[in-house]
Amino acid sequence: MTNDLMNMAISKFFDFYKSEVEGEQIDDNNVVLSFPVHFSGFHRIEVTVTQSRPDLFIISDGAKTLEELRNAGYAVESKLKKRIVSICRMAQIRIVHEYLVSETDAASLGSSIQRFVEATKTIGDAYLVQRPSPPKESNLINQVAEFLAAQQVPYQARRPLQGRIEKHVIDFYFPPNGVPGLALSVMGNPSKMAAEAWAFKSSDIKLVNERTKAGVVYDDSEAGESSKSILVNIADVSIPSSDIPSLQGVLRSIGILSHS
Amino acid sequence: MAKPALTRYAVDSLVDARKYASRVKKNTVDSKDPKNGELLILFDIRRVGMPTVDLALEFRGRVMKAALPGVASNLYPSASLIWHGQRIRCLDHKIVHDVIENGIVCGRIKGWHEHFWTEADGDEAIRIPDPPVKNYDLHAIIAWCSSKWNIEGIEERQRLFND
Repeated sequence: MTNDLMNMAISKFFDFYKSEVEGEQIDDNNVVLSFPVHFSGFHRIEVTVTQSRPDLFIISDGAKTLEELRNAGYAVESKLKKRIVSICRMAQIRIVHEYLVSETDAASLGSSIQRFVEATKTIGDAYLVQRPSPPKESNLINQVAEFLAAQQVPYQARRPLQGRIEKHVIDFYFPPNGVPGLALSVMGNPSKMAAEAWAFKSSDIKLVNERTKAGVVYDDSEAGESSKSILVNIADVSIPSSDIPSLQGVLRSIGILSHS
Repeated sequence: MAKPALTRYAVDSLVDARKYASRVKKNTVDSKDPKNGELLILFDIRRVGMPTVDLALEFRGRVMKAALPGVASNLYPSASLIWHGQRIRCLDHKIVHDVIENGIVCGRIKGWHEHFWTEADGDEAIRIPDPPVKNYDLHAIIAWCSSKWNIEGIEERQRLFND
C-alpha cells in the first residue's frame, strides 16, 4: 500500500512536470525550456540548452535572471553581483556578461539542468520575493507643487538666490513683480538644526532681497517645539504640512495670487 | 502623511491619464557598445499639466544586445511602467506564462503578454496584448507601450537625447 502510494505520487508528479515543461526549438543545436518554477511576476524560469559539441552542452538563462532583478527595481551593481556569483559558484555556474552559464556533458545533462534551475530559483527567492513595499511617504515638496499647480500660480522651482554671504537654493521662488516676492522653502524633517540653518538662510536672503519675504512649509508631525518656535517666529510665512490649503490665503494677502 | 497602498483604481487611473516623458534618465538604445550588453531606456514620466509634480513614475524599456558566443539568441525586448518601485504595467515575452486570477492559475498565454497590476495578484496578472504585438524590436515595443499606456513624447525625447 505504502509503495503503491509512493509510486503513484512520484508518477503523478512526473506526469505533471512533464506536461508543464514547455520547449521551443530555436535551431538544431538550441532549445529553450520553460519550467514550472517561478520568479516574481509569476515568470517561469527559462533555460537555453545548446549542444556545442557532440558531448558538450551549454546551459544558459538567456540573461533573464539579472533582467528579472532589474525589472524588479534592483540595481545589479558590483556588490549584488558578487553575492549572486557566490550563489552560482556552488552550482558550478559562471556569469558571462549578463548570462548565467553552465557547461556539462551528456551523462550529467539532466542533473545539471536541475541544478541550474535550482540556482536560478534561489537567486529569485533571495531577491525577488514579493516585497510588500507600499508607496513611499508622500513627498512634501510634491504636495506643495501639486497645490501650487492647482492654483495655477507661476513660480520658479529650485532657484538659486544670492544672499549677502552665500547663494541659497529655494524650493519655490515667486519673484517680486509689483508685489513682494516670496522665497518658499519646504522642510520635510524640521529638526532644530535644520530650522536654525533655515533661519540663517532666510535672513541672509532678506539682507540682499529686501522685497522678498521668506516662507517655509514644514512637516508639523515631525517638528519639535523648539523647531516650530524658530520657524513660526522668524518666517514671514509659516505653513504646517497639515494646513497646506492656508497657503492660498497667504499668497492672496501678499498679492501673488489674485483675489478674483 | 503616508499615502494609501496602491489600488487597482489608482493604478488604472494613472495609466489612463495623459502623461508625457519629462526627462530621459538613461538611454543606451542606439549605443554600439552598451554597458553589460544591455540596451536600456529610462524616462521620468509626469502628467500633462502637472510638470512640477514628481509622480515617482518611470518608464523602462530594455533588451539584451550581446548574445552569448555559441548560443542562439532568443532575446526579446521588454518594457515596463514602474510606480513607486512597483511594476504596474509590463509588456514582455515568455515561452509560456500562467494566467493568474485571485491567486489561482486559470490559463496560459504563449509569447507576448501584458502584465497589469491588481490588488489580489500584484504584477502577476497578465492578459493578451491588445492590439497584438507585431514588431519585435525595442523601438516598436516602446511605441506600443507609449500608445497603450498614454505616454506622449517618448520618441521625441529619445531623438533629442541622441542629438
